[in-house]
Amino acid sequence: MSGLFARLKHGLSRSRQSLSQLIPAIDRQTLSDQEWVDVEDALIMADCGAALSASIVQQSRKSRSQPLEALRQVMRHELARHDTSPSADKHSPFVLLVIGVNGTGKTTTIGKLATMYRKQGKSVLVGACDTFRAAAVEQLAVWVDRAGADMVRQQEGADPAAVAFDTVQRGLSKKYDIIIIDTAGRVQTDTGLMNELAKVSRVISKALPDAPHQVWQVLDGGTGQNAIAQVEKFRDTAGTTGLIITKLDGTAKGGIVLQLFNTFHLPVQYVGVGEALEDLMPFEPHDFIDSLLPESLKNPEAQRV
Amino acid sequence: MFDRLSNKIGGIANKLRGSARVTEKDLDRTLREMRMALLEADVALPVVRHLLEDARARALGADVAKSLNPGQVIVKILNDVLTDVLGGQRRDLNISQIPSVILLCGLQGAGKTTTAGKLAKLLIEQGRKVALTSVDATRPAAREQLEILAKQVNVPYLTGNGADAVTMAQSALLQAKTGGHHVLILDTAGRQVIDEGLMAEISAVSKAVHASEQLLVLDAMTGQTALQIAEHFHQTVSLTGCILTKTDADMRGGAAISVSHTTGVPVRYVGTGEKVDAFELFDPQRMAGRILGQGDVVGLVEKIQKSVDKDKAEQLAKKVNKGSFDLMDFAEQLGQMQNMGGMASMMKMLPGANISSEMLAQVDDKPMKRMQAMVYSMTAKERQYPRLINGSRKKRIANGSGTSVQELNKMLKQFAQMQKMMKKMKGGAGKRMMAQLAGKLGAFGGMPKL
Repeated sequence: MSGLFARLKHGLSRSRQSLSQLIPAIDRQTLSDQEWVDVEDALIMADCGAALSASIVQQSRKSRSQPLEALRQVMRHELARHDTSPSADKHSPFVLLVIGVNGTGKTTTIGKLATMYRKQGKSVLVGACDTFRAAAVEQLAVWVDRAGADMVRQQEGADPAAVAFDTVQRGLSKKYDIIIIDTAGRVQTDTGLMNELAKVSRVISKALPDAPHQVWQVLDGGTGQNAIAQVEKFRDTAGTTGLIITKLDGTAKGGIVLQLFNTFHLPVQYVGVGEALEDLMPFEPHDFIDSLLPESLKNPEAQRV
Repeated sequence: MFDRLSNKIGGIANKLRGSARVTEKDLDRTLREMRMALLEADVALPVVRHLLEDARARALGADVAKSLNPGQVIVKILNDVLTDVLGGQRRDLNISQIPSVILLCGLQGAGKTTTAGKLAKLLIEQGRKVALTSVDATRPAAREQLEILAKQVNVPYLTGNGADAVTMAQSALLQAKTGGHHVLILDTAGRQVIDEGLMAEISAVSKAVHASEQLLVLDAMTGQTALQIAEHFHQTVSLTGCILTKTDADMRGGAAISVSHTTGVPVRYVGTGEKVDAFELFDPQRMAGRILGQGDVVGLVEKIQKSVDKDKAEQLAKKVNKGSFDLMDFAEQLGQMQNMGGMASMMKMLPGANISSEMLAQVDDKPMKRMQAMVYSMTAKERQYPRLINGSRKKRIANGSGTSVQELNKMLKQFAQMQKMMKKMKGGAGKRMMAQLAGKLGAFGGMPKL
């Protein structure tokens, strides 16, 4: 786990560096007005959004703590009500619907999730409902194979809702522990495809009344303010219950996570920090904030109250 | 695509339009709001700063206060600044050499492979002999995906032989030479810019095949990090252009501004959808116009031209002239509206309207679809002679289309009014009637009150 945290930290280091470069005085006891403006700018550059960045700085300035610590506290407070871990053990089979726009890493994430559940000794069935994109099913098949899971597939161009229905039915009759439904990427502005997604979700609950138990939207960590529109539309269409933020091992800062939680209060279930199967880690709000902020020059542990 | 940004700045400009002169305070306020708008559009902060400085300098230099309409002068200045950044004039791809290699690079999931297919299709339509190849050995089924796309657009896929990306690329280039292809589009694996190994690889590939175009494929939804992505790729392969993908996702498009500003290379194309022909030339002037809420009339006309069948339009005009516009024609008109992406997507392109996304969300194409369903549930005779439709026929049509008799009555009444107007138009009442007709159509389609 510590290795993964290190990778996340490394990935997010760019914004941490920009923070410390922009505000070398962050370790001082007080900051000037201009320096606080620099802090605000640094937060904006980490994709925290202009409005939220201003609010974070405003709150931090009111605090009597040392600036960096004040910032840390305020940002942690933003994620204070964050509550993850819906246990897959509560349901059998546990049906998970994975959604998102094109290219966010849904298929890769599903491969990683399948691997994780297989390692926990659970049987996993994956439904290949991306029947649109060329070779999407083949890509998923490689991942499913690596994970040692099983897959339900139909020909390209098949009705995704039908594949989802078949998958859940097969999962029920063969008594799988986990059923994961992959869907085609779609931009949230495409009404036709969003309706299709709503249908997939409806059809799943026809096959199993309380399913899908979880609906996770996969988001590219490098996404900017458009993420707000994305999450809103997907939530309204498919009843999103959690988020997965991918590609945090690059230049992406993922400050958008703060904004998303601030707006929707949807928990982040996992973050992706690399291409390997194991590079999917549970989201820890405190670790995440720490990896965004520069490390204090003094012993940070001593300052945390 | 840049709709939120255009709302904001459009709003500021509207405020300024009202005032007789612009003080320095007004200018400050305008620039501050523009800063927020640009940041919300994901333009990278250093770029925002630069743009605002530029705009301020130009505004102070220009004699804003004395001009007749200071608001318009500022909008013009902002427009110029954005147009300059977005790359000024259009430029064609440099593919004069035979064979020319176009290298596509970018992050994972940006849409490189899909873009390769789209670009191939565009170039064949320009009469080039194009071939596709992929040196992506990382992502499972990446090469299969491109092969399928190649088949779809009817372009040969060349399988490069070799163990590493460089040899694969060289092998594919050799095949392109012997095959007599003009252009080889080279798709590469997605990579994070901080992955030094993979960045070195792409530089080696680019050099080995002497790519004449190195295009960065960038997700239009990218946030502040667009700046670093562009910087890194530019340093590694010296980019010659950028292709912005997924611009149909309600994009504010700040990434385009960041990339152009940082690298000085123009955005050349934009991907506007999943289908292989959803690909357009990027037009800086039009885009800047859209940002500033001046609409995109050129885009609107193009859209209409694309989706309206010319012969059908002529037939329709004849019918209107003869006064024989019937329900079937009516249903076809409704269908065409939908082909153009529905009311909302057309409204977005209208100049000056300053339509917010909230308003657009209210636009409802459903009434149009219901009307279509009603017409399709009629017999051919009924469509031609709506007077035939009596009580029992009405019941049948309502049942068949899943609507109600009341709805059907309303639709028939509206149609009768429309027909009456068309007859008047034939009589020569002209433009005023057209305007009324447009108003009627608006009432049909569930337009929001602007």
